[in-house]
Amino acid sequence: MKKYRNKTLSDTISTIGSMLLFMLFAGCTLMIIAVAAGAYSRISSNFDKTFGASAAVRYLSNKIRASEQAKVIENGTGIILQSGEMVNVIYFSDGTLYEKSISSDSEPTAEGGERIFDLFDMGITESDNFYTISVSTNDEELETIVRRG
Amino acid sequence: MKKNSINSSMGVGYVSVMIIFASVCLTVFAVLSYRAAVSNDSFNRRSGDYLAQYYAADSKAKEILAKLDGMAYSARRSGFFEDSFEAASEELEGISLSRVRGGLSVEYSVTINEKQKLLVNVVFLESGGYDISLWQSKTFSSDESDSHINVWDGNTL
Amino acid sequence: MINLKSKSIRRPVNLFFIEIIIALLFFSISGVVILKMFSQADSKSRYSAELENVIVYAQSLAEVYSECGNAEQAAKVVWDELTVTKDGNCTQITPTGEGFILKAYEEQKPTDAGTISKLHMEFLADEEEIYTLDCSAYISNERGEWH
Repeated sequence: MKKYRNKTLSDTISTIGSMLLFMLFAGCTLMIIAVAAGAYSRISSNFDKTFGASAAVRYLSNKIRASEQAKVIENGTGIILQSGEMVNVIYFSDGTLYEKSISSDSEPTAEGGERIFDLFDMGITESDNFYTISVSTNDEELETIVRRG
Repeated sequence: MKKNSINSSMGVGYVSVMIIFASVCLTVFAVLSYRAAVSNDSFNRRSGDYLAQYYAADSKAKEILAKLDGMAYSARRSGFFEDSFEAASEELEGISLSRVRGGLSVEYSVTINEKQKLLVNVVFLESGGYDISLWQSKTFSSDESDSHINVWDGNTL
Repeated sequence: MINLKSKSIRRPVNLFFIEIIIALLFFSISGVVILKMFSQADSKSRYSAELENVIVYAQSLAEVYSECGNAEQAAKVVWDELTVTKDGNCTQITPTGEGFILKAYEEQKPTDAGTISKLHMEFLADEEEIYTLDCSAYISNERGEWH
């Protein structure tokens, strides 16, 4: 009977040890998964950033370069770009950058465009021979200069 | 009693299941991260390459502008601006000249890449200096491009 | 008989340890591959973020340089605070608060009616080249106008 009791005790200790080891193992595994998820979210947020402010800045500067004439909308929240018979109006309104194409006969207005990017803020200023485009998203702010062509 | 002892020990298989789950999770995160990083990187590289191509074309266009300005400068000094300028500009290829009021309008283009070109229009003034009226990147129009695909020649079926 | 039974009672415990060792071995091997992938993704992502930033600055610099034909002057328009050191034809520009330095190599060639300046920009972070861009400026003696 004594022998049997000893065996039970050693089994209990062994089981508790195994359980603790298992729990430690499970804890470490979960921690590693959490770290990996964190790393993934950081990398993918960089990816989102690239397709946010930076893409908007590049898009706008390429559009300005490709236009024959450009005119900044009065309050600096957009630009009217003319190339040939077409006029492109790119404007910022309510956290979104919109674009619309109209014929040169129509009156360009900053409404009714198609959504291109979601941004926090966007502004275009005209000085000397340059346009300064500043774009900001929730976590990034970018500014670039484009020559008037 | 024997049954109790067996049940009290840690079961086999839980750890394997957990490890497989963890490995799958980590592999998925790693693959997604890598793919996001690679596409981000290739997007930025392409953007950087385009910028380099654009400024290479821009530099070429400025070199042509410098040559033309030199010709215009010499033409002004000769006293016969338009004729001298037209004669001198013949040595430059791909340039079209037209007479405008007060000077000569020069148009030329420089290839940026297989899809785009940089169009330049400059008016060289007889009185001195020049006006750049156009410095525009333009996509090759479909009629200029050779990239059409032969769908059917109309003879065979 | 008792001995045999006692062996069969201990077996699951031993199996648990054997399993945990095999699992750890497998996990460590796959972990090496996964970690390598993560570190590559991370370094690519960092490089990419820096490149994205640098491309925007490079464009601004090239645009301003086209008008003024002076790298230092162009940098002063783009960045409010910066340190400039000159070594021969190389101008080293360190913008405050940015993680990179710019090495600008300038070459000026006078023509009949003006000066054509060429600029080679090298952006470096941690002594490593991130991006290079060549641009130029033509400054006429009889200053031209943009319309």
